[in-house]
Amino acid sequence: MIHDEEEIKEFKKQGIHVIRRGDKNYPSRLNELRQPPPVLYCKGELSLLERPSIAIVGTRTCTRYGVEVAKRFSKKFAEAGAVVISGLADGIDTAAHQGACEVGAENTIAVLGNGVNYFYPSTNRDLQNKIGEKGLLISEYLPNEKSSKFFFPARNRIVAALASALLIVEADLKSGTMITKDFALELGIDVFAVPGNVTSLQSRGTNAIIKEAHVAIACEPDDVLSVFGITSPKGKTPKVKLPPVQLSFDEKRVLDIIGKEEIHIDDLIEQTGMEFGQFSSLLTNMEMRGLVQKYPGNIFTRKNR
Amino acid sequence: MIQKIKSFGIDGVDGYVVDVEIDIAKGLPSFTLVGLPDTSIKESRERVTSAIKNTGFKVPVGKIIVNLAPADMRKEGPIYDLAIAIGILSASGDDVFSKKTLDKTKGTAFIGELGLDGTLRRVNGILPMLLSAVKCGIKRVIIPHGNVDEASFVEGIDVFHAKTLGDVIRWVNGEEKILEQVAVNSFDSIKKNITFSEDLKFIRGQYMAKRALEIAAAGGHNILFIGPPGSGKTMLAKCLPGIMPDMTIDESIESTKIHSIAGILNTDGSNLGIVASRPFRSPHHTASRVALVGGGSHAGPGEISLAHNGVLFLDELAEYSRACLEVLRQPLEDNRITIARAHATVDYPASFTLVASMNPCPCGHFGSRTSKCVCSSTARQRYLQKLSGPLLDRIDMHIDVNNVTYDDLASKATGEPSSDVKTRVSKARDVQTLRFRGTDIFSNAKMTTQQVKTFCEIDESCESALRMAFERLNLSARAYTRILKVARTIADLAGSETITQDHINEAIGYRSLDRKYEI
Repeated sequence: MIHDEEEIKEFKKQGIHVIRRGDKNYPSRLNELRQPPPVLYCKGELSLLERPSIAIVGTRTCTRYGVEVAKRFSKKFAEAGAVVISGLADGIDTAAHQGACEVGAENTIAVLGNGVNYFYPSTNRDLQNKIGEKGLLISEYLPNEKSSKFFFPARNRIVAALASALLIVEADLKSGTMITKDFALELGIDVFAVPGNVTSLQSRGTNAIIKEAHVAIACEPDDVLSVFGITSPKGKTPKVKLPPVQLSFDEKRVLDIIGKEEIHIDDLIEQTGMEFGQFSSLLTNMEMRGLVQKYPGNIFTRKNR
Repeated sequence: MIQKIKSFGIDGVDGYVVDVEIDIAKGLPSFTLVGLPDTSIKESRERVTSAIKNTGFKVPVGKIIVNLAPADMRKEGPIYDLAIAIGILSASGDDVFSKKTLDKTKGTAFIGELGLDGTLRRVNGILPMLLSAVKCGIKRVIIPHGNVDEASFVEGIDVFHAKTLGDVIRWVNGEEKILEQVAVNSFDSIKKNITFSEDLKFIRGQYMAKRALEIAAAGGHNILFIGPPGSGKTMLAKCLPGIMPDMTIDESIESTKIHSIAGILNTDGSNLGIVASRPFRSPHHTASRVALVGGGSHAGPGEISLAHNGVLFLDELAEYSRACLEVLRQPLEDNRITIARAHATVDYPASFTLVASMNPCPCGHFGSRTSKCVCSSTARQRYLQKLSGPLLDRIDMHIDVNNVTYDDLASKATGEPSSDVKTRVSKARDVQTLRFRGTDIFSNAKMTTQQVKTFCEIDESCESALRMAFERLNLSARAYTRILKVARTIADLAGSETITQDHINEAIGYRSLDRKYEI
């Protein structure tokens, strides 16, 4: 045994649960791995490990599409009662955690490639704290251990082993995500991938594995949830009835021009033919009312209400 | 025999009278220069003796002492060659000058650097020196021919220009016609010759950036362009001087004084002799702190003072060293800079519009229409953190610019020309001049918090719109007064006395960096 009872008590004082291989609460699925982690350091609610779980993973350099999909799926999973597992990395991982946190941080588990007390990436400090409080942080490394690039592929095997299903949102051909997929297939876990634009680098990997028929296609959250024999709750979250939006003539025109695509402000104004000052004021107003969404580089899309 | 000749020195941006005293005594031949001269003045010994010899006169044999009074002020630059030469010749007792004509030198000041053959070369700082001559009541000044353009804007004094030492000697000896008097040039006549390198009409698309430039010009707001490489940030910035109101004669003289002492007057090839169009300074991002704000052993002006009354353009803002950017904070607030060095403490004006540009991330392509960003969110955040909060606080508008697509470039349509925009800007400036009469500011951007309260009153509905913007768009608190100031300018451009909700909304749209974006 790695730690004796004294040391475990010591960790407990710091709010860190130590689970050794062989302990009663050691997740049995990890034993199926070729190299099961000898010890897990956990922070948060251990009970989350007993709930059905879905892992969502993907690239760090994701697109807007990826973020949107990851958030939407994750939120639906959480609403359906599943725990969302991911790696707390930049990009898709972060979006997945955030989506679940919208329902509640008690719906997500983050498996880290560093100690639970070390923050990486630093931009996710708040998110990590939140999950450590209500959700669950898991790591096989000592609490203060820094991240190393060798730790992340190793971390992926735990992500795969803990999950009952794996969803890949965006990934390139050679990536950590593909490593997670290989572990999952080896363990016999259902793997889903979200198809993407064939011209997108970020979707090359997901599209390729769909083509090779290694994984199932997920176009709706229900495609994944059906594994558990459940569907996403309909009408469970009472739809807040939004007050009908009064649109002025100009606003209607702007929305018509934006259509379903994203559009740059220059193209938008050229098509409306309005004077810029007036147009800009209109657009800001529409953004505040949640009709359009602005992205860096002055790109606008319609916002779904 | 002792002789006194008048000349000038430069202290900061102003000139002062220097008495060049020459004494030639019997003794071992020597030539001593005292009165805190710098190296270039000390070397005038060799230039002056050669020039006198090659003009056909003799350097007197004896102990020559030259004193530059006041002796406690540091003198710089080869300004005194001509005065020293004339002084030596008149003190020599060799009858170069007749007794009668000698009096002529008493009321005349001499400025100029000598070549070994006796030619007179141009010097820096003519304008401030002549202005101080007018102030001190000096009647006549002889200047090098190369400084004529600059001198032609000084009234109330007779300025003669000379090409050689020989001509000056003949003039002193009574050949009045040998030197021409500098004709006074009117400032208005020069305005016609002003051209700008860039015009807004050649910029395709970029409507937001163009509108932002108009607002910046109208209200004196500092502005930051954020966009991928090749999106035209530099070209946009270069358009700003062309839409700012014309310089007044006072502004022109003030800027010319600084450019003159820095020796960069009309180095751009124009020979107007004066800074007639608003200066546009774009120091490279490797510039040191001293290069930016001024300094050095003799406390010379820096880029911010050279940009006085004009535009300081900092391209690739995030690449400047942090220390460099932080030194800009105080001058941005005070509109002037005091440089204290061991030898001198100098106060330079530095009232400029700051235009900066930067990429949105290390690779430059975040948010681009045409290429893909490869930076992690951490890298992006770290990149933006290079700009400190206090510096961003002094920049009223942050504008996202994006790449122009091929269609835009190929389109035949031309935009609104700069001259039209300038008309609107000038009108808005007039409104502000009226508003701030009796205060020490002249543009909306310079309002203090107290003045914002007085001049940017908004009604209930605007207040609630602003509150909604803060909540819905995640604006940071420091945006509040900035938005009000910009909204004030937008209202001025529209000719509206009150700030309406539309003006506020538009101003909010120019605060891109305050927004906490998700991808």
